[in-house]
Order: sequence, then C-alpha cells, then structure tokens
Amino acid sequence: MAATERARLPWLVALRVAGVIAVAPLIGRAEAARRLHGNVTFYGDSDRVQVWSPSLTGSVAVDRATFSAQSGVDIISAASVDLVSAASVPLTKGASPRGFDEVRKEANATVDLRIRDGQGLRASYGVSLEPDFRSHSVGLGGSVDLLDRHATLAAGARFATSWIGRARDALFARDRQTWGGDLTWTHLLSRVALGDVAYSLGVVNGFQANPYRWVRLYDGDADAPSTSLAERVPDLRLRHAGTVRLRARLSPAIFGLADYRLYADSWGVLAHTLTLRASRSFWGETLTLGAEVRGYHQGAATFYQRRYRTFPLAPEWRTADKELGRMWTALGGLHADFAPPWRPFDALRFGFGADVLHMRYIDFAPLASRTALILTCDLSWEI
Amino acid sequence: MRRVAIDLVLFLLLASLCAACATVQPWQRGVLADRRMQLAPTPERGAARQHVFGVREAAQGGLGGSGSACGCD
Repeated sequence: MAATERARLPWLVALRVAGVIAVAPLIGRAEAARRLHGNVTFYGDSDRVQVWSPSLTGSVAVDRATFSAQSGVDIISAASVDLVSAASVPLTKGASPRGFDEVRKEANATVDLRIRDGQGLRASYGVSLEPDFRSHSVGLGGSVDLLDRHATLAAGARFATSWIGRARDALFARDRQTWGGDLTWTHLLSRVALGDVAYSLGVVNGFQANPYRWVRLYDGDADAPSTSLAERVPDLRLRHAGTVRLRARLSPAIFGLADYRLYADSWGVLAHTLTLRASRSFWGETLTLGAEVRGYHQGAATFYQRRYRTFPLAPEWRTADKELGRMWTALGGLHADFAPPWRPFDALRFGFGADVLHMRYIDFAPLASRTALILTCDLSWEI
Repeated sequence: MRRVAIDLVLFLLLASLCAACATVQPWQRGVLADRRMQLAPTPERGAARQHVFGVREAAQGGLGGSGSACGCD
C-alpha cells in the first residue's frame, strides 16, 4: 500500500453524532430507540487504486420522528495507468509520477417524520469535501400507503451544487448543479413477496470533465500523438434509470432478491444491470449467510472514441474517461451477518462482506481490464 | 423502434407484477417486515457499495434517494 493518511474520525463529527443520540430524548419521551452503526469498506484493485472508507452513523427515534447523522471519509491512494498517463502538466510537474493520495470527507443528516400511519416525510442535507472539490446537497421526500396498504408510493427530489478546483492551479474554478427526482411503487404480491418499480431522473448542468485529464490526438494513423488537449464534455446531461425488483421469502430460512435496471442518458450511454441475491439464516436469525452475483453492461457515449484524430478538426467533445466507453463488469460476493442471542450482546449485530468485481474496458487502449476486491465490515448497536 | 421495444417490455413486466397481486391481511405481513426482505443487509453497507458502483460505472440512479455527490472521477 502506498503512503496513506491515517484514518481518524474528526472530533467535531463524533461530537455531532453523539449529540444526536444524547439530545433527542429531551425533545420527546425519555424512552427513545437509538442505534449506532460503524462501517469500514476497503476497495483495492489491480490498477493500483486503494480506498479505505470508514463511516459512523447514529440515529434516534423519538415519537413520530427519526433523526440520523452520518459521517465518513474516503482515504484514496491512486496510481492507475490512465491517471498517470493522461494526467495534466500541473499534476505531474513536481508531483509523484506514481499517482496521488487524497482524503474525501462526507457528512449527511436526515430527518424522517411519520405524519400518520401510512404517510411519511423525509428531509436530508449532505456535504462532501475534498481539497479540489466541494458539494452541498439537499433532499425532500415523502411516501404514502395506498390500496388498503397493499402498495406504497414514494417520491423524492434532490438538488446539489458543486465547486470543482484543480490542485496547484488557484485560478481554476468551475461549478455544476444537479437536480434529481425519484418515484417508487412498492406492491405486496403475496404474504411472502414484494415487487418494486422505480424511476429516477437526473439533470446535471455545468462542468463535468476531469480537470486533470488530457486527451491525446493523433495525425491519421501515426503511432505517437501529435498533441494533447484538455478533456471536454457537454455541460448538460440528462440521466434516466428504471428498475424492476422482486423480493421474496423462498422458504422459512431462505430469502431472495432479483432486480434489473435500465439506464440511458443524453450522452448516449445505455446500460443494463442485473442483480441476484440469496440468503439463508441459521438458528433463527443468529447467523445469516448470503451470496450475490451482479452483471453490468454499458454502451459508449456518442462522443467517445478509442483514438481521437486531429483531421479535419480537433473534436469539440473529447474524453479519456474509460467509464464513458463500452464496458462490462461482473461481481460475485459473499456476506455474513451475526446477531448474538446472549445478553448483554443481543443488542449487537456484526456484518462482513467480500466481493470480487471484474471490470472489462472494450475500447480503452491503456487498460483492458482490472479486478477489484471489496471488503466491508460493520457493527450495529441498538442502544 | 428500439426504445418502443424497451418500453413495451417494461410495461409487460409491470403488468405481470400487478396481475400476480393478492390480498394480504395485516396479520399476515410478518414476513414482509422481516429485515431480510430489505434491499440491503444494512442501509449503510448498501450505500457504500453503491458509491463504488457509481464511481466505476457510468450508470447511476434508479435505486431511490442518494447522499452527497463527490468529485470521484
């Protein structure tokens, strides 16, 4: 592992989470359901990218309201081949050609309010901070039970504003705004099965290129590039995603989930995602073992090219982002959850997951594929 | 034509879901409230995984609300 910053939860964040848990009972009845959850996720791949992501979430339910606060960091060590080969001059001049280390901090707060039986509202706020990126987001949502509580309709809207900078370039400053909406219909299919249909719309307007990424242009079939230009993509992007999902108990101890998502956007990307998951419990719910497989395929953006040419003109839109080209991914994973039945540990729940994610880039010359290992470890405590 | 075919497939899936619906009395819904029927073993673990997918793939959304954005390009 390359040099990384030591994971240390900011004292202010810890104080905030503790405050949510301690103060809320003063608002309502003394009896309040409280929950503390800690999670650590590790991502490491064969392209020399490693990310450690510890997070802490606290929530407390008082009367008809539930207050939640979450804080986390991403500790990133990246030296991927496309990052090093396409990095802009300000990044490589004086910087290590082996990549970069960075820390991203995130915090979110949510309030869920149950208006009456079968109706609820949600409000949320989130902030994300990096040395060269800042984002603030707000969200509102609601849900209502229908058809004698055989169905639930949920809707939500969100807005985010982001500032994008560039390291060692104080004059570089861009921004973008994101609007989004979601609709979900959940229906009881039987005593043991639920079905969901969801649609989401996202509108992104503003700077969406990578300020560190340069695109190589070639004269005809020349082996070496004749020049490099900064990555440039359209300012406006409309995203559509529709999901159909089925959840069911297959036997007294076996549960299953299947979902399919169709995604399309105004940049021409069309993607399909299929997820299958099954879990089996032992000794009641003391131990639950699960397995998951996931497949993903996407087509390229209309302006994506494996090799950009200078003739007749340098292209208006150009990108070196492999995630905008044709690609597919395949994931297989296992997870385990352990809930001790013995006092005083019966308020705890331990979880562990391991996934292998293989990514294949069909039209990206510097990197044909990479494989990642994703490990998650979490602990929940019902106080 | 391709978009029409996609829309038709989605509509048929939705229609088949509704056709399979049954009346479930309140005292028969214990299984539906089970935590193993949730979308993710824990919401926090699901959010962490979705963040990985959101950075590594172009597709996003369709799964409900999300947290804050990031400059994870």
